[in-house]
This record gives sequence, C-alpha cells and structure tokens, in this order.
Amino acid sequence: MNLLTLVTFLPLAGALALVLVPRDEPGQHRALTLGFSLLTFVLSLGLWFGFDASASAPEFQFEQRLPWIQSLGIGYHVGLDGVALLLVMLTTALTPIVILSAWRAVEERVKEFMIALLVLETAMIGTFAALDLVLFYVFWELILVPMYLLIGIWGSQNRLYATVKFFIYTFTASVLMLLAIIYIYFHDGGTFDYVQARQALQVTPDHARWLFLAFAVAFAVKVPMFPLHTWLPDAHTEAPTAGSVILAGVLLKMGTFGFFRYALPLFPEAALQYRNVIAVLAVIGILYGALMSLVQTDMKRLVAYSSVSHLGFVMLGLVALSAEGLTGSVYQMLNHGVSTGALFLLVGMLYERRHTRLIAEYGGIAKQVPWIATAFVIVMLSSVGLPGTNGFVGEFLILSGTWLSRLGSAPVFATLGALGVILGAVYMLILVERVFFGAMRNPANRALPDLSVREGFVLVPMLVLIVVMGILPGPFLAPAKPAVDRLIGRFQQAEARLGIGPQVGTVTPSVAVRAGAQLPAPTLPIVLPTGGAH
Amino acid sequence: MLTPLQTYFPIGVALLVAVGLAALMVALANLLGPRRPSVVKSTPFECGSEPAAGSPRERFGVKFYVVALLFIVFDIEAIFLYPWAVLLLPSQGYPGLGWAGFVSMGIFVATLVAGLVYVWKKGVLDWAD
Amino acid sequence: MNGFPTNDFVALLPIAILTVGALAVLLSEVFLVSGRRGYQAAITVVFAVAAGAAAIARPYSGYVFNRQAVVDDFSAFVTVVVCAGLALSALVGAGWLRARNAERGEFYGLALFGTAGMALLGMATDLLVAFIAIEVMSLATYSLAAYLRRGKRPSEAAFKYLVLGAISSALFLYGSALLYGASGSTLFGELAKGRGSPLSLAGLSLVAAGIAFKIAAVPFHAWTPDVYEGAPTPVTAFMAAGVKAAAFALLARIFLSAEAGTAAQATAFSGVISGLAVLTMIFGNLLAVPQRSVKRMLAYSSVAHAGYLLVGVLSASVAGVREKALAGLLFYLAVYAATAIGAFTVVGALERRSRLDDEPADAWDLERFAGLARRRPGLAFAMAVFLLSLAGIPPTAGFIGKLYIFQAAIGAQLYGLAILGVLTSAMGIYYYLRVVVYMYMRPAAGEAEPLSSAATSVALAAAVAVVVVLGLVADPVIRLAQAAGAILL
Repeated sequence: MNLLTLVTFLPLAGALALVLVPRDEPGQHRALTLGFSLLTFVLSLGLWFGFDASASAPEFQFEQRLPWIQSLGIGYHVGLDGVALLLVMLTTALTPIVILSAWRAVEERVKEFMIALLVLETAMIGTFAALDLVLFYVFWELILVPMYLLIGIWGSQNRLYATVKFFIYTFTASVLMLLAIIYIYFHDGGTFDYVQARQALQVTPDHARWLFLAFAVAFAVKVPMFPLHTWLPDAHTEAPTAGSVILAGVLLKMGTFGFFRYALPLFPEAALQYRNVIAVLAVIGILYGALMSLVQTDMKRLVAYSSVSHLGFVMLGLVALSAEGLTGSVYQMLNHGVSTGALFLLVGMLYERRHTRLIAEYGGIAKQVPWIATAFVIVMLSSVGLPGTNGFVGEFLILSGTWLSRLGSAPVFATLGALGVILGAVYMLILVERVFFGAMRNPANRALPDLSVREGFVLVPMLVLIVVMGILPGPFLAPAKPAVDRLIGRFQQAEARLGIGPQVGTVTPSVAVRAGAQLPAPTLPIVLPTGGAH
Repeated sequence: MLTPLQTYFPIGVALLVAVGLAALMVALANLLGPRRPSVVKSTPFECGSEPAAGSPRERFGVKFYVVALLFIVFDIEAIFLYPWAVLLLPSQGYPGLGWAGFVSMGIFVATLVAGLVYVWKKGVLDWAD
Repeated sequence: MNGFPTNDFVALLPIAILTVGALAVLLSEVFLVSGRRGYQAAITVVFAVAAGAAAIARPYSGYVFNRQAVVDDFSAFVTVVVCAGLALSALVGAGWLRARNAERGEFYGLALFGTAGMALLGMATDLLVAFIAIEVMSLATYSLAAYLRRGKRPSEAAFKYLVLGAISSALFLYGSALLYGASGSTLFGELAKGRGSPLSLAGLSLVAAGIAFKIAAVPFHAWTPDVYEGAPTPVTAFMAAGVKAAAFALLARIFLSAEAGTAAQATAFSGVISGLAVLTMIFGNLLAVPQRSVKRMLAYSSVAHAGYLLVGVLSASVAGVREKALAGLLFYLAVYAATAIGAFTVVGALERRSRLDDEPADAWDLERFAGLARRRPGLAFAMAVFLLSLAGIPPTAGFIGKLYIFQAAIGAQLYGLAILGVLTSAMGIYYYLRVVVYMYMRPAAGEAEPLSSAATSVALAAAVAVVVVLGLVADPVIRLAQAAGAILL
C-alpha cells in the first residue's frame, strides 16, 4: 500500500466508518473523526520525514500509478513534489485542529458535519497529490460538495446566498479548465497524465494562450484574485468557524498551487506573456483587500478581505518568477494557512461566547480574556509580518524577489506591495485595539470566559508554528527548493525556445546572495534557491 | 435512365390536367351561370332536411368507440389475411411464402386472439348495461 | 420453397420476449382477478431482465429482414438500457400505483409493448421499420401518459402528447418520402446516394424534426414540460429514460449514414443538428432556472440533456472520433436513464396525493423537499446523488458521461459547442443545487410522510448504485459502449 494513497483515502474510510455509527451518538462521531484525522496526520509525518529534498531526488515521490478509466486515458497517478508535500502537511495538520475547534460549536447534525469534514480532507489531499489531470479535476470539484454543505447547513444567517454563490462561482470557472484538460489530451499523444502531458504537449502559441487563460481563470477564482474575489467575503463570513479555517487555510492555496503546478509549467510561454497582467491584478488585490479590511465592521469579513490581500502577495511572488519570489510564495501559502486559520479560530471563539462578529460589540476585553488576547496579538503580529514571525519571512522573500525580478517595472510592484504591508499593519492593529483594548463599554462582555483547555489545545500548535516558522524557516523551505528550481528551469527552456532574452530569475546573481544575507540572523539556515538565470 | 423524380412526371401531368379542369369548370360556372339568390336558397341545408338543432358536441357511449376500434382491428386483419392466403402456396414457378409466411401469420393471429380474449374477459363485448 | 429465415426470427428474440411478457401481464389481469397485483411488477421485471439477457447473449448478429434491421453491439446496448429502464420503472410504478389504488396489468403491459418498440428502434436500419417502431413505442407511451384517466392533468398531458406526437410522426413520414425520392431506397445504407441534393437535405431535416420531437430538442420541446409534469410520475421516468435512448439511437444511425465522415465534408444536415444542439442547450437550461415545480424542472433538465447528447451525435460525424462519440453517447444515455428514473422516483415519492388523481399545482413544489434530509435521510441522499450526477459533478457517473461527450466534441474540433456545453451545464448547477438547498438547508414544512415501498426502495438503491459505481469504476461499461460504438453501418 502506497503511503500517499493511504494518507489520501484514510479520511474517506473514516467517513464511511462514521456512516455506520448511530446518529444519536455525537460523542462517538466526534471522537472517531478526531481519531481518524490524527491518524492521518501521524501517517503524513511519514511523508514529511520520508521526503528526499535533495536536488538529485526524483521530482515526484511516493508515486503510484494504477489503471482507472483506461479506455478514456484516465489513470490513478499520485505523487508529491516539495510544494505539494508542504500543502498536504498543512492539510493534515489543520484538520484535527479544526475538528477540535468544532467540538462544542457544532451541536446540530454532528454526524453529517464530521462526514463532510473527512470527505473534504480526502479531496484536499487528493488535489495536491494528483498527477493525472482528470484525477486532479475530480478532487478539485469534489471539494465543492462538502464545502457547500458545510457553509449551507452550519453557516450563519445569510448562508444560502453565500454557499450557492461559492459553488456557482468556482464551478463555472473550473468547467473551462476541464475543456482545456480535454484539449491537452488530444495534443500530447492521448493521455491525461500530468508528467507525460508536460513533456509531450504540442500546441500552437495561440492555443497555449487560451489554455493558459482557461486554467488561470479557474485558479484565479479559487485564489481569489481581484476582480474574481467577490464570493470569498460572503463565504468566509457565513461559513461556520471550521469551514472558514479550512477555506482560508487550505482551499485558497489550491488556487495558487494550481498556478504553480499546472498553469505556469504547462504553458510557460503564455505565462510570460500574461505575467504583467497577473502582477497588476495581484497588486490591486493587495491594496484593495487591505483598504477593504480597513472599513469592515464585521471581524470575519475583515479577515476575509485580509486574505484577498495576502493571497495577492502570493500571486505577485509567483509571477515574479525569481527563486526568492517563488520560494516566498510557497512559504506565504503556509503562513497564510497558519495565521489566517488561527485568526478565524480566535474570531470563532469570540463568536461562540458572544454570538456576534461585530467589532463594535467588543472593546477592552483583554482584561477579561487575557489568554485569548495574547494569542490574538501573536497571530496578528504574524499576519502583519513582524520579524521573528513566519509572516515576515514570506513577505520579505516575496517583496525582495519581486524587486529583483525581471518582471517589467518590478520595483513599482514591489513598492506597492510594501505599501500593502503597511496598510496590513494598520488594519490589524486597529482591529486589535478596538476589540481588546480601551475601556470595556459593553456590559455583555463582563462575564466572558477565557480559553478552555480544549481551545488551548487548538491554539497552541498554531502559535508554536508561527514562532518556529519565523525563526527556523529552513526545514520548511528545503522541500520547496527542488520544485522551485525545476519551475525556473522550465521557464529558461521556454526562453531558449522563444529565442528571447532572460525573463525569469533575478537581475544579478550577486544581489540575490546579498538579499539572502540581509535576512535577520535567526533565519540564517535558509539556503536560498538560486534559480540559475545566470 | 430516369431519376426517381422523373418517373413521377406522368403523375404530375395528370395532376395538372385534373386541377386545371376543375378550376376551369368552377370558373366557367361563375362566369356564365345565372345568379338569382332568394331566402330559401341561402339557408344552410343538410341532405334535404333542416340542420339538426342543439349542440353538435353530443356525447356518445364509449362502447361505440370500442366497437369501432375492434372493427378496424379485425377489418385490417382480413386485409392482411386475404393476400397472404393467395400467396402462401407455391404455384407456377412462384415459390410461395413457405413456413416463414405460415409462422409469421401464426404469430400475428395469435397476438390478435390474445387481444380478443383480453377484451372479451374485460367485458367490452358485454352489451348488458 | 425457400429456406426458413431462422435468423430473422432469432434477431427479434428480445422483442418477442417483451411482447410475450406484455400479453402475459394483460391476460393475468383478466384471469387472475384478486386484490393483490404485486406479481405483475415481478413478471414485468422478469421479462425485462430476460429480454436484456437475450440481447446480451445475442444468438445472431448482422443484418436481418433484407438489411432493414440489424443486430449489433449498438442495438444490444440500447436494448439493455431500455430494458433496465423498464425494470426500474416497473418497480417504481408498483409502489406509486398501489398508493393510488391504480395498480393494473395494463400499466405493465403498455410499458412492455413500448419497450418492445424501443428495442426495435435500436435495431432499425430502414425508414419504414423505424417508423413502425416509433409508432409502437409512441402509442404505448401516449396511453401510459393517460393512465390515470380521471385526472385533468394526465388527460391534458396525454392529449398534448398525442397531438404533437402525431405531428412528429407526420414529419418523419414526409421526410422519409422525400428521402426515398432522393435516394430511391428507404434503407439507411442507401441514404448517402442522395447526398448533397436539396431533396435529401429537406428529407433529412424533416426526419430530424420528427425525431427532435421525441428527444425533446428545442424548438420541438414545447410539449415536454406539460407532458412530463402531467403524466403519472413512473411514466415520466419511463419516457425520460426509454424514449430518449431509443430516439437517440435512431438519430445516430440516420445521421451517420447521411454523413461522409470528415468535418470538411460535413453537409448542411450537420448544420441542422448543430443548430438544434445550440438551441437545446441554451433554452433547456435557461427555462429550467425559474421552475418551482421540481418535476417540471426535471422535464426542462431532460431537454437540456438532449442538447449534450446532440453534441455527441454531431461529434460522431468526424471520422477520427466517431467511435468515441458514439460510445460517449451510449454511456451518457445509460447514465441519464438511471439518473432520471431515480430523480423522478424521489419526486414521485414526495408528491402530494389527492383522491381524484388530479395533482394540485404545488404537488411537486420545492417546499415539499424542505427538510427532507431530516425526515428521510436516505431519500434525500439518493436525490442529492442524482442531482449531482445530472449537474455533472465528480465523482458521479454524470461527470464521466459529460467528460466523455465533451472529449469527443473537442476531438471533433467542435470547440464552440463544447464551451457552450460546459457553460450551460454550469448554469444547471443553480437549479439542481436549489433542490439540495431545500432538502438539506431548510426546515421541514411539516408535511406528511413521503411514500415508501419496498419495490421503490429497490429501484432507488439500484439507480444510486449505477450512478455511483459508474462514476468510480466506469471502465467496464465504457468498454461495452466502445464496442457498441464501433457499429457497422
């Protein structure tokens, strides 16, 4: 039994097991689900430690190929590169935390809730693990169903509108990707296998542009990139805490992962052509998300818009196509999963206590709930990218990678991105100030209980990750390096084919080294991948 | 070699002649005939008698329809049976329909008999009430 | 004395079995008079299974009756699909009719006769044989639509169906006459002789219009919502599954005989089919959106699916992907049959019943689905599976079917149709999901218990199994469909 396949389908097996447990035993459902998700996490540690991050190691590890629908050219082919590994680990680590966080919050239809979560976990892992285009698409779409139910059944007042919007937005965008996938099948020798398609794909530049756009739109909605982001604030706000955490923590990364794995390497020429457009949209997203966050009165909506801003950074780093930018993007995907996930957890905890998300309802509660306040401040610092937290490493790499990249007018993009960082600090500090500090005006807040032991268990892993990833990013960057190098290598081949000057990498190699040297002392273990545009 | 359409040419000619003749007669009658309308001449008539009064949408017993249907079914059976009976046996170099024809008609008649049994048992032929 | 044409009779074995079954049920109705008629559904299922088995065993393959009909993998596949549809509909009908105290042998007899016509339609390679098969099929379904004759809606549905069906038969027949004039033969194989002549195009278009009525393609769909909604629900399921499959089999055979085989040589007939496909996909989906009656929504959804199937037919005209397109068409038909029957079964179990068989206007309103997930989780889950399959969301069989059809369309370089297809199917998400919203996310309206019977549960379980299993392990059935797609012609 392949370990990756086991990790992928273990949650689904758990969901099937839950079906057999009687409906009126919510305790058993919770315990069984937590057990299965923990077991999945433990097994996925085997992936983490078994992964060979050296440059000579095979690109995809824990690979497995099985025939599936042979007559249509569809196979079951899974495998992990470093980036997929990191995201799988993020998924398996977040899921038990989410389940624990929903222990008391979900009292209605616990069985269905837990089944939906487990199916969702399988679909998420499968999306990152798939190496067959149709298999990828199947997992990609499979995510919609449990997420749709999570928002629609356990969400708040306006949930029906939000969940239908979420579903239709993402589904409409991804059907065009399905057509592009089918088109690829006819132009790579008749296979849906990703590895083979990447090598054998033969399309005219004109068609490659359309294919790139079909993939890019599907991923851009998921990221979400401005102006395709409007489903996100609604979905985030209306979803139950568990749904928001999964949505922010993992689902949004599927979009950026899609760019990294599919849209960019399959169509490098088209990507070079559209990178400026994407960079412009990414910067607009950064600034727009930050400005929208400034004026929100609802905490969840604020965090949702901050996600638009953060994911803008990820997209900017991706299209910078320099080693630093790409590495920073990958790192920022993890950071956003941890810090925004933690933010949603904390907002959820406040919501459980007061049943309101309005910022104005709170104020000065730090004295009443010091532990929640402490955790919130740490997470906030990570979110705004304070040195010593994980957010700093990611944002720094992205901004320096963008500045030094060969993207047209790169310094402008980097400067505007930096402006987004400042705005981010502003809205997060205002949020913390309004919610936790100042005078306590609302008498309803006088009896707020502080963190329970269970909630402590939920938050501690997140806080530990924030600090560890801020001080010791090395182990988290290492697996991504070969994947980043390979992607840059593919773009260099494309440059050679097109006969154009260097488009990727950084302007001068020495600057890249200096950029690495400028990192604060604790981050020295970073071995920055140097893309090799030189 | 005539195309399939060309073989229809004589029919077309006959059609033209027929339509033309009819049109001619109506036209001549209209042109030459005397016209002296009166009240009696203008009333609608029906086979020499006054038109039936009341609503034309009268209901008939559903049994009439069923009988009509059954009549058509067995009428058509007879139409099939007659040429079949003539052609069944071989004669003067003609091979006849043979066993295939016999079996086919056997199936046909058996199906009809089953249908007859069904309507009989269903009480359709029962005229009592 | 010529030789006995054993092959001709052997070829008709599945049809003979169905006919004998119909007669058996009818005679049992008049001879075995008792209150309980559960055995009739059982007889129907047994004969349907036997006919399907005979089609699979296929003692003889090849042309019969002077090339007017053919027994091949294609006809066998169609026969199995319509027989499976018959068996499922009979099981559904058993529970549904008993609840209305309307279970009679005539229902099963007519369904068996209709299925015999459908099976014959799958075999027809001659316009006259096709016409006879259409009439056998249609007369049975007209009567079935009027089965609950006391109600106003069923009568209206049956009357509309009869009148428009007669028009479609007339169009088909007139087109056949023109085709005979153009090619000098009624055999499909000879149709190509008249290729290019205006007479042939007019004939083909009229024939296509006649068939378009049966498959409910826009603009010949006007009867569909009223008839599907008004007819007794098991009959609707039977029509959606069987009539559509058989009519598409006929359309595929006629279309492929008339087309040359490459996109460059495509005749104006391709344009006719392509126009039908575009209109059907757009309007089928658009008109389904505002429906509050779930039964009516499913009727429009059936129109929309005809559009996707037409894309499959059109793709089959391109030589390189003909086999793929035909196999995709057959696979899609099989999946759609199971899904549609399943969905209509749930609708039938939930509909409001009245003593006079006259369903009130809100009998199938979305409100009746409210909170179903709490009242009857099994029923709600089954309906959700069917709706997701109709919407084409993985990992259901509906997704594989759509993937297959669109794969063929892109292979045939029909990019515009493929893009329109996926975009309209995304539109479909809205109205399919709305039912899921009501079932899972709205509180129950406090309605009476949905109908439940053992036979219906068996049918539902079978339909769910087909939809799920074909979504996960589609390979064996796809291989069968591929074999069937490689038809001789």
